[in-house]
Amino acid sequence: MRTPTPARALVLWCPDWPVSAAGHRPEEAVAVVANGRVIAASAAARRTGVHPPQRRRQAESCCAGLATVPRDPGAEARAFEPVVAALEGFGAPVAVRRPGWAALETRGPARYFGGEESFALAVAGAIGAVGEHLGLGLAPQPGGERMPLVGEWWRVGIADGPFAATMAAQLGRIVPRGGARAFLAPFDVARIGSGELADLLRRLGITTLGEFAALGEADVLARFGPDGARLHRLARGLDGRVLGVRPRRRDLAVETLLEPPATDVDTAAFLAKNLAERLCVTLGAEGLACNLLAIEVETSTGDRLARRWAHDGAWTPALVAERLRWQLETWLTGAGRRDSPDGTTERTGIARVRLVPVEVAPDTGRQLELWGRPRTDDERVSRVLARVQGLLGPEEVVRPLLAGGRGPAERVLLVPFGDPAPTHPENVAQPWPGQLPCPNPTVVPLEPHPAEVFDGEGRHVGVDGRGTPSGVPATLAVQGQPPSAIVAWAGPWPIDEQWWDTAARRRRARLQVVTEDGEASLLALDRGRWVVEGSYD
Amino acid sequence: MTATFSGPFPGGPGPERPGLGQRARPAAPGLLAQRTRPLVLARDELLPVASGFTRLLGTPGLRRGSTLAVAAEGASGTTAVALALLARASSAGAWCAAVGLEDLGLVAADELGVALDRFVLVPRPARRFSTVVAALLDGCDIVLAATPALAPADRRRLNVRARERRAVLVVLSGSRAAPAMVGRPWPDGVDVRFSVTGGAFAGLGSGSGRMRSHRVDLVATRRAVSPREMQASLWLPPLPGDEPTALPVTTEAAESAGAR
Repeated sequence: MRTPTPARALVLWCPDWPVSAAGHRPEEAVAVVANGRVIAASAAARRTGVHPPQRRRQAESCCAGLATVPRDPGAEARAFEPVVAALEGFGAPVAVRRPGWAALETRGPARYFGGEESFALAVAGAIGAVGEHLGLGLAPQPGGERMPLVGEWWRVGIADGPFAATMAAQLGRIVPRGGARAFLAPFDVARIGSGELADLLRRLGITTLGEFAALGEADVLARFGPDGARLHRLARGLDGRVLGVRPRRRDLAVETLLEPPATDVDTAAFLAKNLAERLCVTLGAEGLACNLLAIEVETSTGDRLARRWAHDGAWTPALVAERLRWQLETWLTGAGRRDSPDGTTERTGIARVRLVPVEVAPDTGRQLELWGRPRTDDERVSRVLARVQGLLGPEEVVRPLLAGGRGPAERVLLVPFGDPAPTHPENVAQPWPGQLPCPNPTVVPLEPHPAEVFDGEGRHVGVDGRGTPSGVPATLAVQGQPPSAIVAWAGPWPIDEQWWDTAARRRRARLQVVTEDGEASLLALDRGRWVVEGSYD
Repeated sequence: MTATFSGPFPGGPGPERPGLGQRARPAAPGLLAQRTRPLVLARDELLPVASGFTRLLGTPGLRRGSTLAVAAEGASGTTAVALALLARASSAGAWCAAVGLEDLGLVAADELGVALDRFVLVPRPARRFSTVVAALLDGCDIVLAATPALAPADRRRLNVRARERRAVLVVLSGSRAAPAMVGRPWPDGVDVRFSVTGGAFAGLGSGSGRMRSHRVDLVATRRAVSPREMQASLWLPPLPGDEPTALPVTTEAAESAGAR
């Protein structure tokens, strides 16, 4: 069986990328920590013995004055983006395995630069320039340097296939074609990337990649299975893997300038329809369907109004125009009309409309049920709710979530529809001693109404530290209403919350009362004042 | 009569569709014809409702496309009745929305059986009330609304929208969860109007016990079902062992309900 020769690959490897992405230089003693363990450490920290996956406490005892920063994977990816963009500038598709590791095939650009060495130097120069721009380190000085492919925070190497190229990058070397096996031979067998296999090999007396490569292919397959055989091929410098490249995405956004700015919805919507047609044609040509579309509107005063619209992919010009119209209607009639300082109402116009497909996926078509009903109801609901959010603003359509708490108001969280829900499941499941049992009041005012509770002699009823009322509640006077007699009552139930924190401590007492007019209320005494927390309507 | 083009297996089992729940059995030709019939009358499409309401409604469920009203007539309990009306449908998978009910007690909604993960709240629709309700009727199965004073034409439009979109509009008036200026009566186009005429609370003594349940005395005025008026007392949330019964409204029945 003939094995395909591995493609030459250039690998850019940033050894301590989480540290660099957090904005620290290698000479600072810094460790990036997640879940109490060191994920990455700067060169200075590593010299003192800090190494992943050490425990944080252990690392701190190794290195006095070690600064630890929490890990932020999003920031790592964001910070790596300009680096990838610089690599993409060389014209070859770039594969990114994780932030801090990128590879590209050298075939085309190496020919353009007249050899792999000059290509590698060009890459090193570009990366150094990006790093200097980002404040990560200094650009390499041209000429007179021993290792031009090693920077303060990055290393570049070229070899056959990404595996050997990664090793080459660690040393900042260019391994000639066919030399991968010899180059890899002295490396420790642990570099193979499978801890289990490396452990086993070491116990079998095989400590380097060269010794592993010397084993017979058939024997390795028989003993270690297909996975072992694959790693064996890597060790022999036959890394036939194709780089999983990041496809270059065309900018699919379309925009139009309105001159003069449109002040009425119809003009804008008409233009938007043309724009939407252009978008649909672009998406159709790429064979893509858009699930999330952002409509961005810029006004003549420079304000920007962006909103995202979700749909199951089948955008038509009419649908886009409709959504733009909803968005503009709200804005032109509501927020767009603002009061100028002299009290008159002025209107700003719409100067630019831009449609950005935020989430695109291959267009697989849409399957309707036999009788024309859409597949799921939830999609229809979210579409409708998005429309209402367009009319009123996103925070005016909320969905309730139950949270932990004692009173009826504390137990509800209102989250704007479409926003990710905060996760409090453990709080809900935990016991809340003093929680109001079922039934809770059906009406819970946002602002509890102040009230007064009197006993038979017209004195205010209070509750002492032991939870005993100072008198028998006889009449209830809610603010703004005549007092009415209490016919039944229960409580008071004292609650002492967060007593361990002097600032946040809250002592309350709750009382359920039914008045003679047939109304039941939940009252709470807070700092000597009664409020109506809820009513049973 | 409204006819809706719909799937072969519509909403809930209607009274005229026997055998719908027994899909595993080989279908008889007649049944097969009924099942594959593409035309489903809107009145056959029912959303499940708590058993206490079926006699009051005159149908085994909430008919899609209908407008219901819940009004306070000198007693509290409107909000609880409205929540109890949609609870069963909500837990069976229907999406519900509440418009203009700023102070709705959502823990109580959960306790009465409303599935909060399919419940949305538009607390302050402000002047865009009809637009918002019309839009929600497009997507949600049940829309609970405390309405401001609306022009009769707007009210009719919403009734028609509910019928077109096979949704149920529940209009609240006199609910305390709505601010004072909304929650106006809805005089026309209502299929069933529930009036809360009285009630009582169980479980409270003088300084002892705790709230257990709320009895709501209801009179249902139906537009198209005979007898026109039915009355019942419901315990919300239901008390164990209580079997709700509904009676046609006569002076005698009214007295017995009062004596209870």
